[in-house]
Amino acid sequence: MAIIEATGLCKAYESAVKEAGLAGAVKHLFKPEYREINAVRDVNLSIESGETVAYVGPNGAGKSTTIKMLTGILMPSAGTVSVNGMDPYRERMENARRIGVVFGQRTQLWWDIPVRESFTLIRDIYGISAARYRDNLSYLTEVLGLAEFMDMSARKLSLGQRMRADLAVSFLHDPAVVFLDEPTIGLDVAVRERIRAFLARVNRERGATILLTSHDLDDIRDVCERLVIIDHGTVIYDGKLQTLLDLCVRTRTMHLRLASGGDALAAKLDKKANLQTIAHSDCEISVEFDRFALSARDVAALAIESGDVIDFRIDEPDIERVIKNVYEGKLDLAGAGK
Amino acid sequence: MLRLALRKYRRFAALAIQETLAYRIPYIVNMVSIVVTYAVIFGIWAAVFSGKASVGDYAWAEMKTYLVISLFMSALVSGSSEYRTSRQIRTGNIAIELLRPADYQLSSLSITLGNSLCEGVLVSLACLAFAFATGPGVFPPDALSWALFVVSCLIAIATKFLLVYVFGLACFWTNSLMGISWLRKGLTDFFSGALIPLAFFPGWLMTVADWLPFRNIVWVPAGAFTGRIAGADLARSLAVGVAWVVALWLIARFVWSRAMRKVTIQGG
Repeated sequence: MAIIEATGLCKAYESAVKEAGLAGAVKHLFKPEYREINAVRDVNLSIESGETVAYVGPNGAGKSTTIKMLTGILMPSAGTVSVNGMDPYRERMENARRIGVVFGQRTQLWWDIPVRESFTLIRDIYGISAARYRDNLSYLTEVLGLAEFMDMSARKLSLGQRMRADLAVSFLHDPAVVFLDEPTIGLDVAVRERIRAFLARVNRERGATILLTSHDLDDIRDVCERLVIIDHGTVIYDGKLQTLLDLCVRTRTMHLRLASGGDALAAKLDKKANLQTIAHSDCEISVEFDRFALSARDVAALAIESGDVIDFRIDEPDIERVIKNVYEGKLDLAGAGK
Repeated sequence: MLRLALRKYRRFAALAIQETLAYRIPYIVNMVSIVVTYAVIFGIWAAVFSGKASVGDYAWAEMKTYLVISLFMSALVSGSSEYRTSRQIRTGNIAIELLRPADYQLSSLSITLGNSLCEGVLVSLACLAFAFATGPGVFPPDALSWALFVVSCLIAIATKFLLVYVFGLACFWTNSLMGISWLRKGLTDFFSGALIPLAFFPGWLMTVADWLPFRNIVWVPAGAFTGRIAGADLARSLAVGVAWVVALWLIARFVWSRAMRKVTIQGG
């Protein structure tokens, strides 16, 4: 049985519709109007133990709402959820003991007490045994580099330090599943990399199942094998990241540097099928080619054969652009994924 | 299991004490403002009693004691406990509390008890100062009376906590605290006897107060202390108080489960 299983998951809530200004406020007082908002519509997810899944979508797509239902703090309007074989909403406390959650925008640390004490509080709240606590704490302290701010209170930490401490908090009790909602938001490159490395390592070494949402595509590429894209409350893609790229990126671009004769070569190349030059000057040509019809080798051979090529490089498919296209509905994903 | 649970909730209480110490200034300011309020109330009653041996069937000595007990009870479960739940609902940080393997009502109670301990220490000093400044009052005659007073205080704290908590949960629906908090404070001050002893109420209003839980917050502890409520009367009052605590506990559970069903966690 999958460790996370959601079937037909929906969340609808009412949102007050108020007209502008004082008149609108008064009108709402006497005759409130509500509009039903479907934040999540019929989401199906099945995640196996040990998987790393990125849950991606534009702002307001329903990512956080899904996470809140999976962690048991929101009751689904319809559908069923099972995490670790439990209903997270009905068995909230038992579920909480076995999952870890990180919200990038909120902290689990107690604001006014030293980080070290937040940890011992978590130990007592989760009932972590002394030996396990000692092991986990030393592991996390080393991997996340917590030693430098263990004795500072949370409010004095930088955002990066706070996030590292928050990550440690959510892994202290050996959770089987960890949900991370935008764990790298607002962090600098170095901290983001450290967090990615940590997540990959903890997944490898401890077998923790990871579900993370992020707008940072490097998080997804470095940590997650599987990608689930949600938009307007519905899952529109579920599969491997590479599969999505294969599916969506038909063309690659090769940039050639030449000693001379760029214009002539460009004219020659344009006569070939499945490729076209998109820019050229005397010393430089950019060629876009269908990567299913031609290999990079074919294109390079073609260019070397008829021109004076000094150097070339190839642009790899740009995840960011692909996902943006998916959000904007420019790519047809029917039949994509599994 | 029980031992682990006890340790868990004891930690919440200890946490509350640590946080109070971290925020010494607002905590002391809150206490001072309560003491100042009572100095004013005391002044008003002193004027009412001036030149009279008694008002109604209250002698000045008993009235003074009554006010000191009222001050004591007002200081417990005030300040941060008052706003904790509603603040967490408004900011959406209730989500974090819900992610912990702890019962929210029990952890809130533990935190309130921790806070009350801090408040109790400071306000006891204030009460002693008040008592010394205003001259002799009325005291419980024996150990049993003291013990029953302590019991009535525990009932008062539990009652006040549960009222604050249930009114705080209303924030799930209203998203604002102001009105709700004023309503609760108004009802509590009036029907608990904090401002005017219930004995001064007209008969019908006193009957209303008798049927409400608020009287357990000031009227009963003050009565237990001064001896106005004693014997079988006191036993009955304490029993009713316990029944109210149980009822409010269940009401709070019910409100919580309704709230969870409609909860929308504020913000991202």
